[in-house]
Amino acid sequence: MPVPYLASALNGWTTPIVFQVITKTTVNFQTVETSSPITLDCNLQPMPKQDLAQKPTEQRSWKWWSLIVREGNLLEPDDVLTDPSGIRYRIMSVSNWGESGFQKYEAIEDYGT
Amino acid sequence: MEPDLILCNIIQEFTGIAASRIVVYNQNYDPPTDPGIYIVVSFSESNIIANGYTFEAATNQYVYKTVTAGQYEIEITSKNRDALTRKEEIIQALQSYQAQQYEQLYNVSIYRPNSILDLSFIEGASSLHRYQMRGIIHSVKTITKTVGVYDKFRDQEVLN
Repeated sequence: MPVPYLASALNGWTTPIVFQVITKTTVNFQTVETSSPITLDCNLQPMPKQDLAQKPTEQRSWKWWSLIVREGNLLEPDDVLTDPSGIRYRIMSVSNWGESGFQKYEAIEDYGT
Repeated sequence: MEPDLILCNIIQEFTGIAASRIVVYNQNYDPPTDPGIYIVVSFSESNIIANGYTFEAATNQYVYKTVTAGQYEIEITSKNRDALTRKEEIIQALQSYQAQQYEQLYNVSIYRPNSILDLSFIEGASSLHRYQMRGIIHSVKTITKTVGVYDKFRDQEVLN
C-alpha cells in the first residue's frame, strides 16, 4: 500500500515565492555567506498555537512560522531564507514528507544583516 | 595578514588538507558531516608586549604599533581516526620551513604548542576525535591616524 500522496490537497493553498537562500562556504579559510534565488511553491503561516505551546519556555517569544512547500529544493536546518519584503527566516526543523508530495518546515524570524 | 589566517595557511600548506576544511572560527560555520578531518583556528588570548606611537611630521600622521603575543587555539576534529593519527602534524607545521617563510614575509614569530588536549569527551555520543593545541604568534599591529595639527598662527606683532 503506497504512502498517500497529498500534494493535490494543497491546491489553492500555496503560492510561488522567490526567496533568497543564504548558504555558507569557506573562502580563504573564512566562512562566507552567499545568497542565491530559489522559488518555492509554498504556504507560509504563523505557527499554530498548539505547536507553539510545545516549544521550550524561552523560545515561545520567538516569531515562529510554519512553511509547507509543495514543490522546491529540500531545505536543511540553519538555512536562511529572505522573502521579497526582506524578512529573514531561519529553518529550525525539517519534516521531509517528500513521499507524500510536500515538505514541512518550522522557521523563526532571524536577525537582520 | 592576520595571525589566524597565517596559521591556517601554514597548516594547509604543510598537511595538504583541503583549504575548505580549515577555517577561522565562526559561529555560522557548518562542520562537515563526512568522517574526514576539519580544523578550526580561533583566537584565545594575548599578552601585550609593547604599545607605542610615533608622529610623522611629513604626513601629519600618528603611527600606532602594538606588539602582542597571541595564543590561538587550533582544534583538529574528525569522526574517523585521522585527527588522532595526524594531530602531531599541526605541531610540525608550526616549525616547518613554510612557517619560517611566513614569519619572514609577515614579520611574525611563531612558537609551537607544548601540549595537546583531548577534547573528545565533550562531544558525548557523537564520538568525534577532537584535539586542541595552542599556537603562539608574536605580531605587530600597525595603524595610522591623521590628526589635526596647529598650522595657522596669527601674524606676530612687533611692539616697540
